[in-house]
Amino acid sequence: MRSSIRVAGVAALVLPIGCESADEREDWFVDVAPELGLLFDHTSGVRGEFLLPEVMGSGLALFDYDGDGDLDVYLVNADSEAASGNRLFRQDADGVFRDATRESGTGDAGYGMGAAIGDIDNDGDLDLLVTNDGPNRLYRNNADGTFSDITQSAGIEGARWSTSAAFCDIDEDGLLDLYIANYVTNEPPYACASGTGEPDYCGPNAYRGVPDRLYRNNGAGFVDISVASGIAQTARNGLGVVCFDFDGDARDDFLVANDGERNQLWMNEGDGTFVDRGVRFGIATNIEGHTEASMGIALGDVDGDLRLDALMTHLGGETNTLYLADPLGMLLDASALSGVGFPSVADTGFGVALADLDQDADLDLVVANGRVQRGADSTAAPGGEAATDTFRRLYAEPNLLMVNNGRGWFDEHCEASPVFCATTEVSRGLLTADIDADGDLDILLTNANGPARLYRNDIPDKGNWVKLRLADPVLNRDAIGATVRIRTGDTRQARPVVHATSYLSGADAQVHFGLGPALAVDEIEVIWPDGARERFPGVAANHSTVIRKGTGRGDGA
Amino acid sequence: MVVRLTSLFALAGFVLTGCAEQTPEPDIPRVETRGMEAPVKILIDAVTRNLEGNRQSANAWGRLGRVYHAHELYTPALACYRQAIRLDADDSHWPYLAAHAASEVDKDAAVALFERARALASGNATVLVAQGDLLAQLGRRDTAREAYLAALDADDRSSFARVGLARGALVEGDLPRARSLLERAAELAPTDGSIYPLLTRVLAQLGEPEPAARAEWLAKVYDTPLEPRDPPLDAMRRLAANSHALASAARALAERGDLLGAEVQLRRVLAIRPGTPLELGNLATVLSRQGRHAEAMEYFAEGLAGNPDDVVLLSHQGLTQMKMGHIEAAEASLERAATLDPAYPQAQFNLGVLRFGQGRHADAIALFERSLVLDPGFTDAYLNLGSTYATLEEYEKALHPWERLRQAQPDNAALIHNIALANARLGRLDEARSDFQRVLTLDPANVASRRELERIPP
Repeated sequence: MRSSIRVAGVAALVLPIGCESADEREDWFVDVAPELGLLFDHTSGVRGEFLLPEVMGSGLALFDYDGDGDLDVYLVNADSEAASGNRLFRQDADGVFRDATRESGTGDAGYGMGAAIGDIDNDGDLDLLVTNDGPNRLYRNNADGTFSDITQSAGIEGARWSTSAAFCDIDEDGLLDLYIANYVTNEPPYACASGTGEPDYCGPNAYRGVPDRLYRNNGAGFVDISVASGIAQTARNGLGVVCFDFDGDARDDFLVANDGERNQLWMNEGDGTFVDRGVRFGIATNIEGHTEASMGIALGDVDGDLRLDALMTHLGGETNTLYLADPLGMLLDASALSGVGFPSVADTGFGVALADLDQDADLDLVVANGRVQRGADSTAAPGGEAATDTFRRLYAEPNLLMVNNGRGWFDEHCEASPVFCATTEVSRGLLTADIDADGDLDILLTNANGPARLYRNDIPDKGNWVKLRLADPVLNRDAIGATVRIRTGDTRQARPVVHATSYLSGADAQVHFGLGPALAVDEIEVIWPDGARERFPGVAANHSTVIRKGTGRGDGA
Repeated sequence: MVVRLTSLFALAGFVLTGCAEQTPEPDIPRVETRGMEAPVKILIDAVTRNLEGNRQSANAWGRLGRVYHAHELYTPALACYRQAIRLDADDSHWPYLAAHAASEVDKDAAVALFERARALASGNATVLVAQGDLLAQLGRRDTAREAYLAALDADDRSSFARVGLARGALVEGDLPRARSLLERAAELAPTDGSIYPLLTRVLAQLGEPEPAARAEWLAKVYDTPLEPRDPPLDAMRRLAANSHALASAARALAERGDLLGAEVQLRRVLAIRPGTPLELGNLATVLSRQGRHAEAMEYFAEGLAGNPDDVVLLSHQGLTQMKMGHIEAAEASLERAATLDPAYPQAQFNLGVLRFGQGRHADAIALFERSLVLDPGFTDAYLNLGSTYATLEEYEKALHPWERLRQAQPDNAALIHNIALANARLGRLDEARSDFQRVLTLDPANVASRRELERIPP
């Protein structure tokens, strides 16, 4: 449906400003994965049997596992029978990625779904959890380029169909605990069909939901507190999970995106238990009171009121839903009011990011799309077509790029990036980060039964930026669950510090702010995970800065 | 976006022209039928042949459109509906169905088609609510509000129009109006699951925690949104001949208590393809509910042969075995189901029923309570939990789940009778009298309540 104009590369650069034509305009994003050595083809074992896990895709993690200051990439694969399993790509000083799977020991051969990262032992490096349709895998980072498989000793293996996971500190002991979302029972498949009876993937409601798991980190390992905490009370089809303090009580809560069932907002009661307040806070359903097929989640302040809003991606026919936080902390479905809704109805969204791509001091939106059920008018397969080709033909969709106008209204902006939008694939995982360390946010995308894409940000005339990394010198070293606020003149922005985001994915915790034309940040405020507030002096634009707890001006908890 | 605008203009031109003579007769839209299930292919072929002999018949075009529509072939359906509109510009059904088909592929076109349907079917609240819902989804709040208000003018008991207006009021921050609309909608449609999540949020925002907590609980009990009664859309959907639609129709018929109808649909599914474990289990359950237990057991066995660990089948098989008096077999099935998936509330509940029958009341109570933790909307579990306590003559404890359920079902005569009986046993005669009288208001033929009422001294 969107423009499929191909652009003429750098020719647009020489045109005078204001005279460029659509045909000659430089694309906002360029896929540089092949040239940077990020060669990865996802396979999910498609053999024409229409097994549900095949269509769910797999996620990724972006993190500096070797502590050399640049971001490395972990890509999850699904088909354990395929030649390529999960892959860890180390980014070297030349910006090229080299396969470090074997030397790092992270090539889990399970039917991979997602990846989550967190410093579970507070030793200053990031550890890695791989979720599977089957036993999960936990790797402890040995700080020498290798990982140890500590799944058994940590006690988190499980044997369900796990999807997204989040490390965060639920009991304020400074140790990252672990929430694992589970999807559905993986029974032998029911024979589902399209509207005309052609074989197709079943929706999740043909199966039954599985309770999620919550593990408390006691320093020596993880203890399953799913039942005692109340998390295991209900069995729903969990796909996405983020961890954040949604009610401002300095305790981390969980927001779970459920596929075709009400989303859950597990509020931390502070006594080891959680209560689902999704309905009360307005995020269980859309504004019509209808459940939606929720897949991925992104958090961010889209309207500049310093309150964190939430965006969830959904099935075609539904909107992607933007929940705006109000002064009471309620989350109001503002999909129509923000422009997010309508352009998203045609496609099925999974991975998602709210990120200031053009650095004009507001959050833009990128969504990885791809069907889970046949196209409405899909035709029979040509004779001899390979199963994976059929899969891509029937389920591929264009991705979505929307730009914030600075007041919380989003306009579809795919004409600026046919490369990102019109490369129709079955896209699933998506993260944004400054992968090439040039200050702007790039996009890393995974496809089900397709290649990973690294879209380098080539947006012209971007604003200035700062990148801030929080550091707690003692516990929860990456300050997961904190909020960073900055002020530049009259403009205020806020970012959550999270690892778990999007769909099946784990992100670097550094926060990025676009500044527009401002040359400096006037003031920085951090609300630490324990509720303590500190103010820090401003910093010059176009720099990365580490903010250490205890070195600012405290405002008290 | 260019494509969308083009199709909007094309459609607008078509709608405004409305002049069949100036438009060349379109080809009949055809689809590739290879790979389709045989009944679908046969139906499409038959309706297409009928149209080939009646190309000037709006009904013939509309019928092919409805067949395509029922099988999710929206683009050819839309083309057929458009030709039906050209041939019979006064029939509101075609633009209405076309609007629904267009909603799946081209929402801008759907807006124009709803407008046309509305003009032809003035005063049809269902059309107006559907138009309002689409406009609201597109963010066109003012026109959506106008459509909902027109729906209320057409039918002042429309809960759906009120919910639509409430959504708009909520977006505008007019919480008192949203509350008023939602509370009235809840009076009119107390089981509509779309009401309570909104009402909960409104009440919480208004700072009324107790009503908000009640609404929050009702949101868990009634978690399925209702849809307006819509004969044209329902008639279209009934044309679906694919096995998946037949299986869905069977489930709907079974829920309405039409067991024979459900059985027929499920047997049609099995004639098209081998049944899934769930479908075999559904057929078995439908047979069991008709008292045909032996037949039912054959289908349970067939389904479980496909998946021995299917807890849904095991749980329903256990219930049938209970009805047959095969208690040991029932116990084995239900314990296996509850062990395989401790989070499946129906298995916990059915095992509770078995334990109750075995006189293991404490176990039954624990199982009913567990099923309620897993599913707060499991109304039978409230009833059985109260009944188990009542059997133990623990009436105070019995009242708790029953009173909880009364919040959701204030007109459930059987429930109120139980509550009255418990209060009578506890010596609360005024409350008991009042509730027995309430039962007789709701159900004047209720002999048991009349007898109990007569026993209470004046």
